[in-house]
Amino acid sequence: MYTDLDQQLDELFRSSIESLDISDAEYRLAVSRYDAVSQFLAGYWDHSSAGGGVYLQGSMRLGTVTRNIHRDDEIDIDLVARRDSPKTSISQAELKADIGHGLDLFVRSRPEGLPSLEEGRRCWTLHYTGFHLDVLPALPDADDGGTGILITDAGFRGWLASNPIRYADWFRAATRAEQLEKPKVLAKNGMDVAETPDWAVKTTLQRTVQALKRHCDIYFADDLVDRPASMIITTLAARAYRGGSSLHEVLLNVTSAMSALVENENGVYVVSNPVQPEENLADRWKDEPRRAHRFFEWAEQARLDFAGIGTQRGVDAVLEGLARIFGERAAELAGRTSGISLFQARRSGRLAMAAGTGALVTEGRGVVRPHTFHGDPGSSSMSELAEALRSARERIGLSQEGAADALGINRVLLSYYETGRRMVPLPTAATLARLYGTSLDRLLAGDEVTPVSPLDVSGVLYRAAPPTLGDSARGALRLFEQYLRDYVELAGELGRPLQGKGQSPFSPVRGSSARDAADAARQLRRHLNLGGGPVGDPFRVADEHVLIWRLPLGEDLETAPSGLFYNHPQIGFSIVINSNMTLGRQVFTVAHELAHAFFHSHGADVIVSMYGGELGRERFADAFAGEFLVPGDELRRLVSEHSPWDSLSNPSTVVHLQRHFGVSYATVRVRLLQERLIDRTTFETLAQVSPSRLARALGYPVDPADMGDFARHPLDRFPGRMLLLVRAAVHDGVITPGDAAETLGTSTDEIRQLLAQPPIEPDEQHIQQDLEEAAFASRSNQGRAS
Amino acid sequence: MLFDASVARSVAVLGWVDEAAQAVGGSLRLAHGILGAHSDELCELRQIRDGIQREVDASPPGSGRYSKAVSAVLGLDRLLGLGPPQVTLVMPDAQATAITVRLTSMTADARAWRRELGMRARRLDTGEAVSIGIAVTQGFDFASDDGQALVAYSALTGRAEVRTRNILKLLVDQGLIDEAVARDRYRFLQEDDLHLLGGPDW
Repeated sequence: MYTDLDQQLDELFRSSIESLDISDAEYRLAVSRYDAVSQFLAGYWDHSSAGGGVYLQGSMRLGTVTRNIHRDDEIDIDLVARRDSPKTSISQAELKADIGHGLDLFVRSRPEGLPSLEEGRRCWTLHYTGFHLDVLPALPDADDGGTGILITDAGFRGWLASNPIRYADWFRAATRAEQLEKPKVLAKNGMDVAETPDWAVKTTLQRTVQALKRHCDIYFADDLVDRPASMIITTLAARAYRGGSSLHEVLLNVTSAMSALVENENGVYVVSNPVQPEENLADRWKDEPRRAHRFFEWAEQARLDFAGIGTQRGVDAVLEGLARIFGERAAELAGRTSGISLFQARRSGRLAMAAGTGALVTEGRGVVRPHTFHGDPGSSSMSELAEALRSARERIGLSQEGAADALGINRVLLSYYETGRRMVPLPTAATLARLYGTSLDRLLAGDEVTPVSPLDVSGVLYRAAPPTLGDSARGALRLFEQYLRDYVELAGELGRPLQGKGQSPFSPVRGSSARDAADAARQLRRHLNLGGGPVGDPFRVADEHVLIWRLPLGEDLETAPSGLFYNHPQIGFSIVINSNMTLGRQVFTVAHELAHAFFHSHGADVIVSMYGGELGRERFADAFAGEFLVPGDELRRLVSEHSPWDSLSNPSTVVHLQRHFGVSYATVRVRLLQERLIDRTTFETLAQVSPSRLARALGYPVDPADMGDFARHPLDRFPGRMLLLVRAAVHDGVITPGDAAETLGTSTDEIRQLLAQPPIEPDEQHIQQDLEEAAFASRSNQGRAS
Repeated sequence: MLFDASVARSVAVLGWVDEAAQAVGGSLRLAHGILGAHSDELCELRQIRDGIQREVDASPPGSGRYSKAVSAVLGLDRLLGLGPPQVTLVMPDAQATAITVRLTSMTADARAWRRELGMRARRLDTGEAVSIGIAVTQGFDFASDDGQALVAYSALTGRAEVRTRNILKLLVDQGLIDEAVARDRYRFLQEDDLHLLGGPDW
């Protein structure tokens, strides 16, 4: 019987990872094969008077070998075949051919017909049943005496320095304290220290690396090209390792710290080799930035997955989680080791909680409720609610800061609620539950695990975003997921059909040229019957075709998207605009995201517009937005009709143009430059003024967001269609005003105001355009008169 | 008597919190969540107050709407700053929490139960629900302007519904407010474009 939940979780983790080990018999067989190769090559080199040696490198040397999930669990063993010749005496091609010849002789000397020999780009591979030996040709490195070697590069151009022995020593040093404890641990477990081989007992760091490698294997199962090298994972894990009381804790700490250990030197990601600092293990990321992006994405997913396991209640949920991370077989073996069958557990639901300990066993008092239970919370105390809130938040990988920002509350206050230091008000608990994808009744029933919807929208968005996505953005994306869920629910309550996944009426665009973008912008304007003039209110124009949400994704655009596009399977096209930006930038982002929706949605359901996004696609969307909002023809017409050429160097003229088009001052400046209506010098000079101050001086109202005040009316967050749905639902008595207020995160007062508003007429938009045009004409005349 | 956010708001914006407290026995009871236990806590009355503050910010100073909004904010600020004896914050116990959950849960069982109570809407908001949970378990009268909340409360307790109108009548009955003034102020709450209370006539 377990006495501690963490201990049991750790045992399940350890058992899962141990199942990835190769067996004793396999290990001994592999060693005998390696010995045979080693002895044969030694004899071969004796004959050629060169001399040399063969030794283990890589995971076999580090003690982190795991079964290879991509090769039917075949075992990889990496060897160095070092021929003791100076590099001046032999070319790279000759060295490789020489080792190949020696191995060919070795293969021919095997009467049983095994192994077979295959040539790779840099090494030779000996294939046996169930495993293979990769033999890397090498020379001693005279400049790095002792254990340094020189290896061939893929193109046989220059020798590369390497030192697998010193690397293994460095790796081992990271766990020195644990290594020293090993004899005591062995003795405590009744094992003979002298008789137990070193590889048979693994340190926590070795287990951690095995776990990460397997998680990585599964994560990149369909994308082997981008899979990060094992050495990158091993190096970062060892650097991040600071010890810990349990394997689970170490995994959490390592996955939380790993990404931050990738250095960024002038835009180039660097993972330096700890024993050869001049070598960048992530060198390939420079030319293939997608690899870096995918690495960060994976590291974050690993963190979430390992954190998620720790919050599971019920051994079945834990085993399910382990199955996702390490594979079904590993989870089944872990379950059996702990006396539990994953599959039996799934069938019977007879998993129970040990009285007083919280540990999970197969029998005992108080059956754990199946995950479909949503019933009466019974006597759950507020402290349990506090714990459930923390657990639910951590399960979805949201920081306290992200959750607090999303709800507009203080992070410290949330911390008080989660620790039980303050009693959480039930309305706030319900709001938090909704943000976490669950509900108050589930939290109180101890089921914070089962999401209310199977659609993991925020997970999809997180994965599509660059890894630098900040906490505020993560919290806001959870809100977005919640609002989409509410939209679907309300439509269901009202019996309104949902349109399903959105489909663009246009052909997809693959290129990123400004000309293609301008053509696309004109196509969309024609499609929306916008004519050639100003769009008017782009939020409203777009809102008829796309749901537009304005959410506080964060002010730091290094970590927050300016916007994103998402094609929801039931609702169709949605656009989220970061409301923590100036109004002009929000307007530009609407048009930018429309480009993604109408011209990039054929191949992508999610596009997050943020630094680190796909450059070509983003460039296209920017050029599209410029032409969509400020059409070149209209800009030239206005300039020729309303102002002499030289007045374009006057910032006031640019402000008038800005107001005419309803865009930012910066957008007009850029469009004037792009249309060659101003030169680069004028473009730079125009940047010297404060457009908001100038606009105010010219009599224009200035949006608070342009002055850094991003607080908006709560209902501004929602697309018109969502508000219409809420109005209809309240009007029909399907929901109460209080329910509407809770759903929209506002007060009942504001719901009353919403209900009192007259419905929006489509013609208003055109009236608005007329007014703006008249205003511009009036301003222009005033400008001329002065 | 336990007040929901709407009725508490009504007496606050009219500046009659003290009178209302006196009329209901000395203290106006509010559920945790309708009122915060601490000044930094999110609660419904603060949300209402902040919403009206937005009206203040959006209205031209000196305009009628501006003046009404400022007056309402002042009244709500006073309520938010009050403690015992005028205002008593009530925390839900396990039983009240259980009722809250049943009044808000979207499970089929909970919805069927609410239909049996006579409710038509899909659920109550958590603020109304926790207020009813507390009122039911502690035997308080319950004042609300939410028709569905009153349906649920009456079905659970058999007690009569109490709205803002009833509270104002109580003030009149106890001689705390002149009836003409109360009628006028009630119509103001019902019809004014800032307050939009609606509900039955006096």
